[in-house]
Amino acid sequence: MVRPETILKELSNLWVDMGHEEQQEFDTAAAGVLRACAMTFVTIADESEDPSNLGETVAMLMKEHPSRSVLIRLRPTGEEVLESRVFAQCWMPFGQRRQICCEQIEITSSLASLDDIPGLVLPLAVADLPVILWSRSPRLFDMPAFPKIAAMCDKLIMDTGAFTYTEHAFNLLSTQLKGERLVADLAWSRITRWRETVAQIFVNDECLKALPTYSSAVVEYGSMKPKPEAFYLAAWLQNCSKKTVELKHTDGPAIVGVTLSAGGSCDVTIHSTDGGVEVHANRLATKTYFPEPSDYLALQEELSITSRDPTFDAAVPVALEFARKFQ
Amino acid sequence: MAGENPFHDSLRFERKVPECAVVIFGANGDLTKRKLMPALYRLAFERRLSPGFAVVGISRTAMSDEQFRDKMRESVQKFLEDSPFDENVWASFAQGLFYMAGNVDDPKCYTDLKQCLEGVEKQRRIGGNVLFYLSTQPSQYGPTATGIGEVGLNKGPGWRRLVVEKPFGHDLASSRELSATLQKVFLEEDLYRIDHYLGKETVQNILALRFGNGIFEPLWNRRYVSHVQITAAESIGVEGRGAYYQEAGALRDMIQNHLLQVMATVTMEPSASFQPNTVRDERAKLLRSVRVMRHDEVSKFSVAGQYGPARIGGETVPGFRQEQGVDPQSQTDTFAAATFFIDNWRWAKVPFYIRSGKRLPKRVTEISIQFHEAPHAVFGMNGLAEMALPNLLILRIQPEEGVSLKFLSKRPGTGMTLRPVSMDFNYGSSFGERSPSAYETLLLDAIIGDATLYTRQDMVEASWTVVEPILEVWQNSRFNFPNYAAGSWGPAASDIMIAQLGHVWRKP
Repeated sequence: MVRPETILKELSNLWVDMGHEEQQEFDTAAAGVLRACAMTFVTIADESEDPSNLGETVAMLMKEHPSRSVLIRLRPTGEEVLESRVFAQCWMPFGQRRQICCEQIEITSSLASLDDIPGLVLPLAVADLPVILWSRSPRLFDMPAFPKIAAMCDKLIMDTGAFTYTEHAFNLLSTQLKGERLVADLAWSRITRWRETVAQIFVNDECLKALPTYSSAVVEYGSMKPKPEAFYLAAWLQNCSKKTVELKHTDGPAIVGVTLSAGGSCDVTIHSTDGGVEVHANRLATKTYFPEPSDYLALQEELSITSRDPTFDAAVPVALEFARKFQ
Repeated sequence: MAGENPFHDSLRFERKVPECAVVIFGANGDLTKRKLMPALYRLAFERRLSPGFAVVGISRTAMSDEQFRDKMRESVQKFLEDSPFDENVWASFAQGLFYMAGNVDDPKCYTDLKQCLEGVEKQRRIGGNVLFYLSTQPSQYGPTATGIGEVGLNKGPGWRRLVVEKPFGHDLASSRELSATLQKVFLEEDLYRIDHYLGKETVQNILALRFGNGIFEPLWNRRYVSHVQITAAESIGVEGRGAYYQEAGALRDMIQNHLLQVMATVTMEPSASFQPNTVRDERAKLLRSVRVMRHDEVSKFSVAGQYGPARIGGETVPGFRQEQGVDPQSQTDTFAAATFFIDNWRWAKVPFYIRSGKRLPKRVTEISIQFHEAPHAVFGMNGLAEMALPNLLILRIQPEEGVSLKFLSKRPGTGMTLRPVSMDFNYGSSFGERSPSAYETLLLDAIIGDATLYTRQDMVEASWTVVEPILEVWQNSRFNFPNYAAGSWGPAASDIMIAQLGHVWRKP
């Protein structure tokens, strides 16, 4: 049995202990521990996931998005299990004397105990700050307890790339988008660099004027079947350019390239290369660096967005249409 | 314009810049190597620049494009801060770097530049957009702008803008003269006077703190604020810039521009919107409200100082007069402090103490807003000593950017004893993301055409008007320098100046 008030008490004791340790070390009021918090960040993952990888991602996020982190690890058993532990994630900013610490609560729950999660997590949420739920486990969405769990958050972050069937993932996402809550998909965040690169080309007035004359738009994907990222990119291009976009298979990563043909100087090709892309546009060739896509980068972007994303909302139904064609 | 870019996503993308060429006069100088080129490379790394972006470097030294690229690469690798160097990005960025040897005093330099830009236009398709950046000696600002105008480079198919670095003149008259020369060639709206302090994230954060929150503004006036202290301290000396610094001094180098701009940001009225001219109008209005000292008030409300030699950390550091290139009898102020008053309803009678100096104990820039004490000591003797400790709101600009609020709290225990505590917001730790350097922000703004963080001529004139009486009196005085030891918080006269009104300098 885990009680929220016990966890809160443990957290409180943790801060007192850390404060004492720091004061003993520096013997001055100027040192001490600085507590930072901008949200309650709840992560739900299968217990089989490597906790160190997950912990590293959450810890890296803490620096940009300090939060009370609640990690719920799902144990695939029928018997009721609910366990918890609390600890602090601290770092010392370079050249400073004061540690910055964020709280982490780890809860292990069996599938049978899922119904107890909202009642446990809600009292742990930091008052007046948003609750963000990052659901890493695709199976959670199909469980009866999911609506109750989702109801406790202000923003739900999922990853359609983790689902076996993309169409099913897009359907679940579409259902979530109908509600009031903010919804995000890490597969969408992973194409931001691609979208940004396309948008940059059309800062040029000549290319922008030529936009109605583009005769074809192609998104090349590398996997056997297109991944959600490729569907999203095609959907977004189609929405923005008002042109029909074709998805074409080539060997390579999830997205291999984008081609927009106008039959003139404004032909655009963007092709992935090692560590970035090569852009040919407006008779110029440039190389652009793309950081390695990771959950950390995608989450970093999503946690910065606190309002509804109309571009994403508009892309989802079109991406779903594309996905249906490939089933 | 061809209309709105349908691909732009303002929620997730950073601002994008149009294709253009940045022409840097003084491309072989320190500023280009240390600040401009690393900032431009970083913008390229962040995918902010357009594919056709180009840089044309100009200086006297003969160099090929390739040699210039090699030199710039070396500088970027050396001076790039908090950022990786990527070979591919550099290779791509370097394709857009061009170099032209030229003497800005020679008319041929400008005809050559015209020809060079035509070539760059063909190669990079910059759309006729050119940003001229004067990273030269201030004495060359006028002749260079005139030279640009004489060959018609101030006009073209795209936009043409001119960026000038401080100092904008050495007094009010020379500032007006410079401005008149520049305005003969460029419209005022195309002149970008750079004050890198205004490009600092934390200076911009002052506006966010004041006008993005409802709780501070009601307290932001004479009724609640006792006084304000603005400190910009450097622990280093003149570091090889002795010859330049000797002509400038702390009052001209820091207070006339950076710190008066910071003071204006802290004290200006809210603008109706965040448009370049509305914000600058408010800053200018504030600067015009600063009371100009009479000559007979200068000794009461200002202090000049110069550091002498001292031992710091077991090492002997030279005094200013012992620095290389400095006159052994120099009367230059390496420390300046002044008390200003703002004559408007909001700030009437509130003293603003500003100080800046070299070889002070630490490098720190901060604004400390000291509030009035609680009117009545409810807690009697137990809290009396602490009651003298007023509430402070400290806006830290560097190095630990952030905001602190100091207030009294009950000490744990059965008695009612108070002690001061600090509530801190640390900019770096709350937003762990890398902040763009001031030059990244300001260069991007100039290319986009956003002058919000740039200084307008009326602001420059207003701030010269404020410091000119002090300069005039100091120029006619003979100071008994040095009057503070390196590593101390400045001359004793500075403490006396602030004590006249019953206040004490904070020790940041």
